[in-house]
Amino acid sequence: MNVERISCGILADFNAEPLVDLLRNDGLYPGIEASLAPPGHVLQALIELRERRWRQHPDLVVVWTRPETISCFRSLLHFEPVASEVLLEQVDQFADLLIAASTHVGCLLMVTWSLPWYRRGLGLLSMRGEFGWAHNLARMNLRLAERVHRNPKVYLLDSAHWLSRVGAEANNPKLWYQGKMAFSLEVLQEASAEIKAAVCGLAGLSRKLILLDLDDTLWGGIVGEDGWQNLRLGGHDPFGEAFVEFQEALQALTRTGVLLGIVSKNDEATALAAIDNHPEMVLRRDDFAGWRINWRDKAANIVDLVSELHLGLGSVVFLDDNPAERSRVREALPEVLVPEWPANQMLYTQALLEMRVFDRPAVTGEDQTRVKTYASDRERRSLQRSFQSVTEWQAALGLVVEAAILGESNLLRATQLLNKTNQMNLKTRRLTQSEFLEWSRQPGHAVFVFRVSDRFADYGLTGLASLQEAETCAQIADFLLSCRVLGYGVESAILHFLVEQARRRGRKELIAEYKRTERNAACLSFFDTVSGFRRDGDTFRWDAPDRCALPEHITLRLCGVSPCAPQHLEAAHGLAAASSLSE
Amino acid sequence: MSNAPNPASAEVAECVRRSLHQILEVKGRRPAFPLPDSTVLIGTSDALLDSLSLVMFFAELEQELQRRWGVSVDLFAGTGLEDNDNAAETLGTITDGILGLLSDHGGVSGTATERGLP
Repeated sequence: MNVERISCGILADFNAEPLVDLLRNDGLYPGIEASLAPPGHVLQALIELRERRWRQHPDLVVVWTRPETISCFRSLLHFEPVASEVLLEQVDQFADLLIAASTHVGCLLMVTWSLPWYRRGLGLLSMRGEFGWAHNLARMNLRLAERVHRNPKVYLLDSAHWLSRVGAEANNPKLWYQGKMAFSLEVLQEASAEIKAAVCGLAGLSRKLILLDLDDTLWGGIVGEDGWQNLRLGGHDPFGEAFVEFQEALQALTRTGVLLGIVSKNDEATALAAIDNHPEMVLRRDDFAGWRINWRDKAANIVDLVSELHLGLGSVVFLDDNPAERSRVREALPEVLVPEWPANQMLYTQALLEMRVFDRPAVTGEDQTRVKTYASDRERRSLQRSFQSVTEWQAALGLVVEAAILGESNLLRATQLLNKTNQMNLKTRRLTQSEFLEWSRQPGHAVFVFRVSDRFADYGLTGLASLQEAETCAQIADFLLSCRVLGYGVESAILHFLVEQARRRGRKELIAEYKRTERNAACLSFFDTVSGFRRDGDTFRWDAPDRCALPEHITLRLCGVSPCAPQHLEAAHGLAAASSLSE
Repeated sequence: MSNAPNPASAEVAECVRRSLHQILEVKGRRPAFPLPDSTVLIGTSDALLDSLSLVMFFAELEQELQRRWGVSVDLFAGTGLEDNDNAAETLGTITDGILGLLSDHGGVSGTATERGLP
């Protein structure tokens, strides 16, 4: 999905014209050109989409209907008795239609059903099973969510959140009767922002790193003056409690793959003593991917730290209570997101949680343990300092690279990697899960994934490469490696693997065409330094009869990948299931 | 309405313009400010608003008047602007209409000419 040129269709059973305008004009990234199906023709439009009768297949379809779309629920609104199973059957039919229609679009976002706030459902009755509006509405939304749960193309957006944010102004009967607008402009503004956040999340553009100031940001008080024992953190203190909750919210984000770092003007030993020793600290040293605690300019420190973590500045959010520091970083590093930050510390958690820059379609095992790999990276660097040479150090790491074929069990993570990797990335292709799956299934295409581990950590699935075969040669369609394992020789191991596949397949040449972006110079540099490649402009050619050495310090294991190329390519086309990929 | 607020007419005019600006921004139009009273809102080919935008503008304006001064006026109902054939034609006439409604609620200080707008 190319976020710069997204085509979007909106299907709604109310007048959603202002949403089309907002998606284009609200100033948030990315601007989306949307078109609107005639109001009230949602089911017909979905059927036409399912049957490929739309003139164009949009990248994105947003479906937003009132719950009355489900005819049984309409009866419920008239307090007519409805059998629960019939109601849910209608929801199932609607969900099936969404899923079927989604096969012809990049992604389908369905907005959950809601009722206007003034529809109380007679209070006591509302959460009762038989006639309860709120009860049945919740069941319908839950059923819909369960139905599409495993579908990689259909996602639900929670409208209840938007409505509660807007409050009583969310629904205005005058707008409905005068303009068939089911929701106020404020709700549509929320919707537009959420749709864009979802698009960014699906495209892998969510922010990855939060850099935090310490004094009066992570805790209350100045550690260098007050001492860590006297910081406002926890205890019977409203501000202390607020800081603890803020830290808990940050820690929770790390479990979804977001990294934390510290950029603070402080004495490092003093600050780290607070982090290590304060009994109410939620975040400890291992919760941070890295830090720069010194008296240097914060913008310079951010550049330095982000480089160490192999990330781009565009993946960073910087939080600081000091407006002058925020202004400085905003001015020096425009790619870094520097949100205005509340003056009242009790509002920090709210400010963090309402940010729309960490959205993602799924959380993988790698996401959940990412921060640990950075902690182990510090140990690894510490080990490096104890060795005389890089070769000795690399040998001591005990690096293992496991190659496997793209399968159902690793598709999610592989797609995430494809869409998030910038630096060591040959082509920087961006595809949705289903687009990637479709591509991998085409004849002559094969996708391989690579897990990396060493004595300190299991980095998880951090490498990906794909081949596209022509008559006499094999083209490398993707060659990418997470920045977390750059510099250990893993890229050379993957290249060795690809050359072997091309050789065994009888291809005379392995071709890598480098596609330049603003951020993938590291990839060009790697291909440039591999002896054995002939370079012609941005095209690198390897004579496949020649072997490509596997780095001595790396053990390469094939998991379900036969060294015999024809077999593995067949398996790749069939997308071998996880169970068949065991060693 | 003995406790009714007493907004100055200039404040009301600014409130009307702010609500209008918000609707125009949604449409991707950002006119140079201040818009003159003679700005045609609806009814001609060069009018700023279409019918749906006018509905949204009225709804937004009602909310804004409620938020700022706690005044509940109904721009859609028979007592509001809808009955007056001319009220919604230009920015000036709608502002005057709002001032009239607020005056009925017992709370506008100053006159329309004191709005200080072109």
